[in-house]
Amino acid sequence: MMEIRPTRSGLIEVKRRIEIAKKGWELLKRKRDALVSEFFKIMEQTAELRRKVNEKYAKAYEKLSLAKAVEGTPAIVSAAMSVREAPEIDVSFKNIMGVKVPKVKSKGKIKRKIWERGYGILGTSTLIDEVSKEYEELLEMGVKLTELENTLVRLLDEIDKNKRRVNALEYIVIPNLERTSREIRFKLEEMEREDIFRLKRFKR
Amino acid sequence: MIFRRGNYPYLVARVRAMKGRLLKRDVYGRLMGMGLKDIIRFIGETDYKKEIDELAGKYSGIDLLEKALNLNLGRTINKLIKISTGDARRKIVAYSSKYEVINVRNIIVGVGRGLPIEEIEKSLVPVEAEPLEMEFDIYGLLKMNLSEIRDELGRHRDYRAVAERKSLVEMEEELIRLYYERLASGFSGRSREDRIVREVVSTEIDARNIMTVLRMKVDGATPREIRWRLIENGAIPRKEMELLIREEFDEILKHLKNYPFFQYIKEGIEKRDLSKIEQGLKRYILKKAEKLAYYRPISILPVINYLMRKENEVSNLRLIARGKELNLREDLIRENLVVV
Amino acid sequence: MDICVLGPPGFVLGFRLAGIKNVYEIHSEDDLSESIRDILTEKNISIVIMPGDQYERIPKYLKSELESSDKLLLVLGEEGERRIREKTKRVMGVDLWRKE
Repeated sequence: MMEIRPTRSGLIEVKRRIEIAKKGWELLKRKRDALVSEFFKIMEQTAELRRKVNEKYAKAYEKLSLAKAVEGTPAIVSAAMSVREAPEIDVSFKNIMGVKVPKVKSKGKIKRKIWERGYGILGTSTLIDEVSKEYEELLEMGVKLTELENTLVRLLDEIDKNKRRVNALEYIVIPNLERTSREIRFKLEEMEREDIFRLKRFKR
Repeated sequence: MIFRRGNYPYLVARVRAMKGRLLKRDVYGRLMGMGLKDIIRFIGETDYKKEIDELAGKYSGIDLLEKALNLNLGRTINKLIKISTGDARRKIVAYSSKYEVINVRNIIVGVGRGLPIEEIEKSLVPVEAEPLEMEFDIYGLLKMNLSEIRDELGRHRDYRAVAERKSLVEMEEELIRLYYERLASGFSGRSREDRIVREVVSTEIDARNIMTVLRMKVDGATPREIRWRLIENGAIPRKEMELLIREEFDEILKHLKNYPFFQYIKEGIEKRDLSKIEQGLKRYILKKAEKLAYYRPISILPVINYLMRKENEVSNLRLIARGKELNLREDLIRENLVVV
Repeated sequence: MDICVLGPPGFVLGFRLAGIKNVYEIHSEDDLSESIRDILTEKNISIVIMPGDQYERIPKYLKSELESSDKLLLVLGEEGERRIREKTKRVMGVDLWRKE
C-alpha cells in the first residue's frame, strides 16, 4: 500500500480510498443479500427433499430386511448381482452469482421396468421387485438432493467468505482509513497553526 | 398285490402321527414374542430336537437353525421313503425329486454369483441321492466351478436343456420349468390320486403364471414379453391366459374374480398389493391340498399333503428366525407367514 | 461419471439392486479409511453415498479432504441432515432448518 503522507494530497488520497472502500462495502452487502435470497429459495426445496429422502431410506431398508427374511440373503444377493448397471451421471457446473455450483443429471433412467433390471423373473418374487423399486426411487431422489445440498454448501461458503470481507471492511479497513484521515487532518491543522504562529512572530 | 400297490394303510397311519407333531397355529404367535436365542431353544425342544442338538456344536444362531431345519426336512423325506413300499415309494420318490432340482438351482446360483460354499450349503436340503435315483451327487457339484457344473448337467438327460442355456438367469429359469415337470412326473397315471396331485401342481403353476403376468403388467409389459415366461400345464387353459395377457392391469385384477382362489386374494386385489396376492395364492394352494387329501384318505394324498405342510412349516420358521435376526417389525413378519 | 456407495454390506445391498456397481463394503475402520482414500483418487466417481453413522466415523483429516474435493457427498439419515443444518447455523447465525 502506498505510503500515506500527512499532506493535503495525502488527505485527498485517503478520502479517495474511503470512497472506494465504502462503495465496495455497499456492493458486497448487495451481493450478500442476493446470495442469501438465493440460498433461501433453494433451502426450502432442499429441506423438503431431505425429509423425503430420509423417509424413503428408512422404508427401503425395512423392505430390504423383509425380503432378506422371506427369501434368504443369498437370493437377494444373487438378484443384486444379476442387475444391470445404473446409468452414468453427468456432473456439470453452473454459475449462481459468481459461485460455481454443481448440476447433476442422470444420463439415463434410474427407475427401470422389472424385465429391464436383469434378474430372472421366474426365479424371484414380487418382493424383490418392490425392494428394487424403492432403492431406484431413493437413488433418483438422492441424486437431486446431492445437487441441491452441495449447491447450498457452496453458497454458504461464499456467504461466509462474503461476510468476512464485509466485516473486514466495516470494522477494520474503513475505520482505519477514517482514523488515518482524522490524523492527517489534525496534523495539517496543527501545521497550519504553527505556520500562522511563525508568521506572526516573524512579522514583529 | 398289496406290495405292488404300496403299503398305504401303514404309511397313512404313520403320516397322521407325524402330522400331529407339526406346530399348531398358536405356536407361531408365541415364537413371535421371543428373541432369536429363545426361538432356537424352543424349536430345539420340538420335532427338530435331534438336528438342533447334533449341529449345535458346529453352528450357532441363525446358521444353526437354517441348517437344522433343512436337515430335518431332508431326513423326514428320507424316512418316508424308507418306510414306504411299491407304488407308494415310487410316488414319494417322484415328488421328492423336486429337491434335486432345488438343490441344483441353489448351487448354480450360488457358484455363479461367487457365494461362499458354506453359504450355499446352508440352503441345500439333504435328501439322499440313492433312494431318489437322483442323477448327481449334489455335494460333488459344490466343488465345481460354473462351467464344470454345466458340463456335468449336460451329461444328464433331464438337465440337458438347462446346460444349453447361455446365461445364468436363463439356466435358473429353465430349472424352474424342470421343477414343475418333476413335480408332476411321478403322477402321470389315470388314477384319481394321480389326477388330484396333478391338479395341485397345475394350481401352483397357475399361481406362478398369474404373479408373472401381474408383476409385468404393473410395469406395462406387452403380451409378447410376458408370453415366453409362462409355464406350461397350468389349470387355466392356454387360450384364457392368452386373453389375460392382452388386458390392462386393472382389467386383469377384475378378471381374477372368476377363479376359485378369489377369496384368498381379495384383500390383495382391493389394496392392489401384489405381495398380498402372492401370499393369498400360497395359502390357497395349501388349503386345497389339505381338502383334496380327504378324497382318498388311504392313498398317497395324505402323504403329499403332509410333505407340503412340513415344507411350509420350515419356511415359516425360517422367516421368523431371519426376521428376528434382522430386527424386522413384528407385523411385517406376521403378514408374510403362510398359515392355514 | 459414476455414483459409488460406501457402507456395511446391508446398506450397500439395496443400492446394488438399483444397479450401483461401484460398491465399497466396510467391515472395519481400516476399510473405511482405505476406501475413502481410494475414492479420492478415483477420477470416475462423482457422487459418494453413505449412511450417517459411517460418515461420523471418518477420521477428521479425511473428512476435510473429502469435503474439499470435487466429489459430491450424500449422507443418508439424521446425520446427513445435521451436516447441512450445522453449517447453515454457523454461517447464517440461526437454525433455519425448521422441521414441521
